[in-house]
Amino acid sequence: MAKLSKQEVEHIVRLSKLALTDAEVAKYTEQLSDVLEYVSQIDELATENIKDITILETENVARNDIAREIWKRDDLLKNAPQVENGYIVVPEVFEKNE
Amino acid sequence: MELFKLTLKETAEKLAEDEITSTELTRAYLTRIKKLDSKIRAYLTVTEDLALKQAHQSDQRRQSKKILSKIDGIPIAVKDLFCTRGVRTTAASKILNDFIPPFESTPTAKLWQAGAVLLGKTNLDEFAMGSSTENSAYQTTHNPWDLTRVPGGSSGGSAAAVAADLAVAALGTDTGGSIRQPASLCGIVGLKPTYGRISRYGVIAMASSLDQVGPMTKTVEDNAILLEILAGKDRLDSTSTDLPVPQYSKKLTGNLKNLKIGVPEEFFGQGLEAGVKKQIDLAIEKLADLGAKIIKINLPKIKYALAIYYIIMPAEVSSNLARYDGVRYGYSKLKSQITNHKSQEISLEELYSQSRAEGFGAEAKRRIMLGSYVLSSGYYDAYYKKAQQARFLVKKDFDQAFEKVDLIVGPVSPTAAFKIGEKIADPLQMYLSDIYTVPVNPAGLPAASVPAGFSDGLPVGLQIIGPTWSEEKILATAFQFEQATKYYLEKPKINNE
Repeated sequence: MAKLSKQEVEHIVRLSKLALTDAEVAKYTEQLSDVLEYVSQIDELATENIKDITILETENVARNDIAREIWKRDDLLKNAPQVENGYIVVPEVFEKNE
Repeated sequence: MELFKLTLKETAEKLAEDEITSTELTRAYLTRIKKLDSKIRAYLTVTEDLALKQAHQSDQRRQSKKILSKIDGIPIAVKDLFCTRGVRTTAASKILNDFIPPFESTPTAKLWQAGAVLLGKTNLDEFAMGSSTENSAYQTTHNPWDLTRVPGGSSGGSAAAVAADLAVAALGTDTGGSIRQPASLCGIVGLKPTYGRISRYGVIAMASSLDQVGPMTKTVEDNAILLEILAGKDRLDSTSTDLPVPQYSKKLTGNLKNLKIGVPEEFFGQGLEAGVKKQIDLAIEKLADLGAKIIKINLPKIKYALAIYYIIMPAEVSSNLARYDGVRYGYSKLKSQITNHKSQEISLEELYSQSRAEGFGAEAKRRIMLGSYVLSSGYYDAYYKKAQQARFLVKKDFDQAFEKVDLIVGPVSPTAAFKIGEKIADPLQMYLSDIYTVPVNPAGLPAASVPAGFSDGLPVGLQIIGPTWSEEKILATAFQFEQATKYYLEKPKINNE
């Protein structure tokens, strides 16, 4: 697992939804490559035959999907950046068909 | 009487005997925080008004003989990763700068139901990502034993607050050592319980298959008292278990005869500081003196644990932190535009990526990107799937060891507290400071850090690791060691100010 290219890092930045400057991309290319080089030591482990990867002693928990009022709408909206008529404002999601 | 010098147990006794009131106690701590915290910087928020109100209510309950528990009236600090209703909660991130939770985390709710008093919210590395608190967007906490050094992290504010007598006890969280490493570096007791022992509801998530809540205290007995209150099933966290909660604090006495303690060769390799090694060797001798049988063991796959961790953890981070999108809460480019009276011409995509770029700090960004990469198409099998399989091998190493021994001991951290600024420029070096704490989390095991003396005047912690649900045995062993060594009685010089 070789050093990341600038293009690869730019792809990761897009997946991560982070608007980074060129200088930041350069810095992270270096740092992420270092970490990936370190973690690639797991290649030494033979894992092909490991099918069951249950580790934590937890089980799936299901419940009936019944609506309950846990929080007050107004309380939740207090943390929203912009609210109009009780709704959170967002930029246009669909482009206008002109 | 200097109230802040007392342990939680001693404080509870003074309250029970009506020698002091919770209001006196809380005022003593608030005064001390005002005096000393400008040097330590353990707190991000001090909740003075709320604390005095809760203390007053506790005193009224005590007068009418209706106390809620033995910790009723005791002032406690909480890592700023726990959502506290109506009290600003930041995760030490700019992206949550103005966040006021509309709900309470289960661990903190349990504290208030037991009558505890909230002193304030403590500093941490942003979203609990780091080993020094230097990744906090707000401030770096200083180690009370040497103000030029880090307190460890990520629960560094909680550890420093307890060590400097700025709180009776504190809550922390541990994803790869974030309770144990700062406890070790600050000379206090920290316990990371078994995955599922304490509810994480309302605790801001970092890596959900690894995160666990735990108490950070002056003594082992204090730790046991808090674990009794915090542990148990919570229907709001489906990973919490309904196993019965033992009376940990009543099961500390006894002796270590017939106890088999494993010492893994892999914990004493390259990179372990001589002064730390010396204290751990002495601690192991002490455990043998107390009757334990010391057995050399091997954990051959443990050397891969940090690599496994730095694949799985970032993968979960990238998913958990996807919720910070600038839309519903937290830092938003939309909001900054309104304040600047700019016209609203930002696209949805720009809203996401700009809010996140400006809101997250460098370490959060690094881990989000690492996670996005190891989960991305073409790399998922080579990294994420492989790491999950390798994680199973680490767990198997521990399982096999616990067929031969009851507990495993070793160092918590390869070094004592390092200098502020020493490792911050090199992320990989910082990650390596968690090399002995990380293996426990992927395996879901409980582990504690207990004071084990000093190296050049800086605290060293002994790590005690057990099989799942062995908190009772870990705490009882830690208690025997603590009572035989009494390192907890030594305090930083700053505590006399």
